[in-house]
Amino acid sequence: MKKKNIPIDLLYIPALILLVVFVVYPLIYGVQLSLTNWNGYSPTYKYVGLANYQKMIHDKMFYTALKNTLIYGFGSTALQTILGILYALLLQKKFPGQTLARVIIYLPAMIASLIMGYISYFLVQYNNGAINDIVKLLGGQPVDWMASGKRAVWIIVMINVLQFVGKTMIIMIAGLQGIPDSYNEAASIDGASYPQRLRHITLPLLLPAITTSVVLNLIGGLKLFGIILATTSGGPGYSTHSLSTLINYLYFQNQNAGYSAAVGMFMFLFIMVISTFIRRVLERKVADLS
Amino acid sequence: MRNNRLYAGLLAAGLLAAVSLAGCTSGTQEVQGGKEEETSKAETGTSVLKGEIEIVTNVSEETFHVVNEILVNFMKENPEVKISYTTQGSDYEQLMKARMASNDLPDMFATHGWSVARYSEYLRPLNDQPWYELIEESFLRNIENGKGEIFVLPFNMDQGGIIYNKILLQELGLEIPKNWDEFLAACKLAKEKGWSGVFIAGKDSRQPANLLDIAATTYLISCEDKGYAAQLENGDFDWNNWAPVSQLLMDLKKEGYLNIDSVTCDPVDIPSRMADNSVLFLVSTSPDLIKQAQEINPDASYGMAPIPALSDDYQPAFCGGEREAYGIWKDTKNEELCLAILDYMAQPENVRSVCEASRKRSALKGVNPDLGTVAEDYEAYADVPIYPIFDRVYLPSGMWSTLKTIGSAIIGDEMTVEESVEIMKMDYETLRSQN
Repeated sequence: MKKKNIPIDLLYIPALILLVVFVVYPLIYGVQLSLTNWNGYSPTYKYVGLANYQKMIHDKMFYTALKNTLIYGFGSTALQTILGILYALLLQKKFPGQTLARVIIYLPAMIASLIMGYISYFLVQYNNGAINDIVKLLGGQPVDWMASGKRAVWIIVMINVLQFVGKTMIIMIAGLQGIPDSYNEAASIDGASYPQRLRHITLPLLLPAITTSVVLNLIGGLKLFGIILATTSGGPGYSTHSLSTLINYLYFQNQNAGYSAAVGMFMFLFIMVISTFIRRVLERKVADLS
Repeated sequence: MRNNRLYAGLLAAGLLAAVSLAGCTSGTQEVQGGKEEETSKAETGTSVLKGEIEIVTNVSEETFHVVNEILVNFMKENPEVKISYTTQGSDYEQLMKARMASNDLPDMFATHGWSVARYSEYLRPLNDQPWYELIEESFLRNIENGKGEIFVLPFNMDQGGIIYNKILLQELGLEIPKNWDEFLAACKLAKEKGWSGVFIAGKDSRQPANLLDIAATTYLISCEDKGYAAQLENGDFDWNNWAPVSQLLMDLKKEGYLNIDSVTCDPVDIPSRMADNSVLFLVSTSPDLIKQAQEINPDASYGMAPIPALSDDYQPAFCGGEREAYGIWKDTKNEELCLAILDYMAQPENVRSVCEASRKRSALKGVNPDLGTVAEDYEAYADVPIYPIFDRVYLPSGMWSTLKTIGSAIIGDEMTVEESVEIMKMDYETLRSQN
């Protein structure tokens, strides 16, 4: 028994080493950095205690990034979930071109967010942007879509939704395929309408798939980076920064690696708390239904 | 139970290793300065140069091609030498900071105005090189540290001022503005004609930052009697005095003197928009834009004038400093080869071709480049004083990004002048305490 157990336990070591090198060590090093005034490249730095965390409390740029992160996270998740379910319901039914339609919707998820951002920028740019060309064709005046920070935040949400709605759709289709046809057939015989079946059978039974999708989309939205970088780089000013792009800005441009690490620590805890909370709430709902 | 103990042991060992790794990192900070050079020097006196080196820059496309050609010629003359020359564009500073942090720098790299303040501790002093004597005396102070050491071979000089459209200015019947009030009045007339008073391609936030940086020269530095320069250097500058600089950009935006897409316009569009002859001014350090605009429309006629003065009581001025300049990493294993490359680059015909591509003045004597139409302006304004580029001398390293943030926010209506002043003050104090 003893001889048999030891080699099996040793198999954990490679995974443990990877975990330590890529997760535990960076985390501890990040905590250490967040207590310094390091500029990100100099050989020397000073320990400043909790000054970076205190600065965060009064920093308007941080609050803007936090607010935007919530919009990117929850806005994207809500829209992706609704659209993903609608697409799944539509494309679950067999019709000519069904597979092609699924591929087209999923296709944007296969490219890097940065590329998606650059491509989308061609749609919304002021000069020669596709949307403005259509506006002009219809006799309207072109609009500088990304010039307003508030509008740009929602445009970024839309781009993110456009890119990843296909992923949600695939999860939902898998969920729908797990619902036995007999349930719907029985309900139909009992005279239930389509909306009634959707509300009382499909959606409740889809909840496990929705839970998975919501948690994945939420984490993705809260970590949004590439699309912001490609479309606005956080501007105008800092109005479209997310916490991820703010960390990048503070570290590599503002030479404030210590403060950047402090924001990074906050973001780590923030995403962990929110995603754990949402997952627990949804899992409890699933448990109540079963 | 036994297994649990084993897992706990493994986890504890892992955590211990992680803590030790973190500790090691801070330990190496102190060894940095004493790191021994591992250079295996080539035998001096022998004629064959060999080796493989990396050179990086952030230079614009035109100049990049010219420097690349110089290096290709060097490789032709020295077949056993292989040079990787790349440009990183706007990501250059981030890349260099990451490489400085890991002490893994390219053998040679461009210093974009920061050879002393940011990069000198990583560079080999170059006062012993034959071309040192050729550097223009008036320019030398821009690249010297307190001990008189230089760390780069400078090709050309940055010179910031206003690029003005000669045809449009003539059509408006105006002279080149001598102060900011005249400048704004000219912008007003331009707007009435349907032109852009000042053109900014704000998708790249360096553009509005550049305007603030250049304008600060006459708002804060050339008005020497106010003593702002000394206060900025000493750290007791009253940041409320920055407000007029931000206000200038705010006024340009509010009054509609900027191009309508100033927030999101891509800098690649600048030459074509200049070629359209609907742009009156650019506040810039890039006279090469004139050449690019003329390539699209040979009738486009632009010149370069000094930065307008604060008021009639002061004189207009230029700002300037190092531009295309290359240094050698002090820990490179190919020092002899790098020195030979710098020596080759310093040949007058090579410096001349870089200056002509960038339309910038040579930093070395005896080069005499043909700078096209800008040459007349350089000659006409030869007596106008040139002050160091504001952020490189008077702001701590790292504040360029602050200028980018506030500039972009002001033209995007996302920040008030008061907020911009507050951010400048906060970042100045934070970054100054680090340096």
